Amino acid sequence: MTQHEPVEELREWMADWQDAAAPSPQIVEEIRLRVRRQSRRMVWMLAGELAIAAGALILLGRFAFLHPDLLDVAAMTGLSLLVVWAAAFSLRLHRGLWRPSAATTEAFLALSIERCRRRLRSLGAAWGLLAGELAVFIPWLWYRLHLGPSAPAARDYVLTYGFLALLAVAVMSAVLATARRTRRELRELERLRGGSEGDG
Amino acid sequence: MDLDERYREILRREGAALRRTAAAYEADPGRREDLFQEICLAIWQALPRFRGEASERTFVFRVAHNRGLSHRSRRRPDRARAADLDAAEQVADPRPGPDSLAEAGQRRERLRRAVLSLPLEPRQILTLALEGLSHKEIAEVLGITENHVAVRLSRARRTLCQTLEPMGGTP
Repeated sequence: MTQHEPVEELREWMADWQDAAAPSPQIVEEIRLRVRRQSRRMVWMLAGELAIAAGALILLGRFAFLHPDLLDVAAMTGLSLLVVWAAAFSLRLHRGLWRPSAATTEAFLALSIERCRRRLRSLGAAWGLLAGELAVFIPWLWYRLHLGPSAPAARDYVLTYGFLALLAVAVMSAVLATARRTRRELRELERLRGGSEGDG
Repeated sequence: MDLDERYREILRREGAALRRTAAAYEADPGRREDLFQEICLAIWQALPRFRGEASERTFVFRVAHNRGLSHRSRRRPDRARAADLDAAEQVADPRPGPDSLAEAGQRRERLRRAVLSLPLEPRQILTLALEGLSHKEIAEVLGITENHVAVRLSRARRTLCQTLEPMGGTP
């Protein structure tokens, strides 16, 4: 091969490279169906998140209305604010998903890296959200169970704190797993960009 | 020509090239087919935003390579490297392929595997050159200057030669 002229060598490779099968026509239809499914799924997921947030706000508002105790109202207001903040945050995340790809490969890499960094920042915010919820919930639950107008049954006590602990562990696990995956992706993207810049 | 017609025309004209581009990023046949579909999908989604600043061909390859990079970055680095090494080992294997496989077919397959075993940057630039893109077009796709294209392509060609040498020189 090395005795060949580079142009001739490249031409031979081109001929071999380009001699491959064309895609089957049904692929086009499969892709159309797939994009419809993906779009529907994204819309439903966003709608679901917003519906959960709206439902939570209604329940919190109803609870505050039915229990006009100052501490109950304060706790429900705090939780409502956290729900609104989380919904706004989710909307912002979804808005990023609709953005077009960058104009060049170099810019695409830079954009992908920036997305990973923002995701890591958002995961930091998720710790804040969890801490905020626990900071409101734990004192409020303690107040409801121990200082409220009625004494709780042992079953209620276990269920209440058990559910809170399970929820906290589930959220922490999800955040840690996503952070680990994002850091791995970020390292790979930075490695790709590093190789590219090294020759640029 | 409406968008659907343009999309079908692009797929008819560049479909085989897009399939080869997918093959340059993914060794596993099943994942390769998924990647090919993702590339087509990305082109369909990006087509309404194409304003003709560059040639349509450049636009199509840019989207395809961006999708290829994205596909690769989603995989665990150790698994991606293992797939590359596996492809390289298959290139270096001096045993002949199955009897039913024609010599030309073997040559094409060796070239594909050799390209797949290259590091990402020479692989990208060679894939574009092998599709017949000019230096100017490659520069537009990758967002680098034409001079860099010439330098990197020359280096990539040497690397490919070294990869193919254990097979006796020609792909």
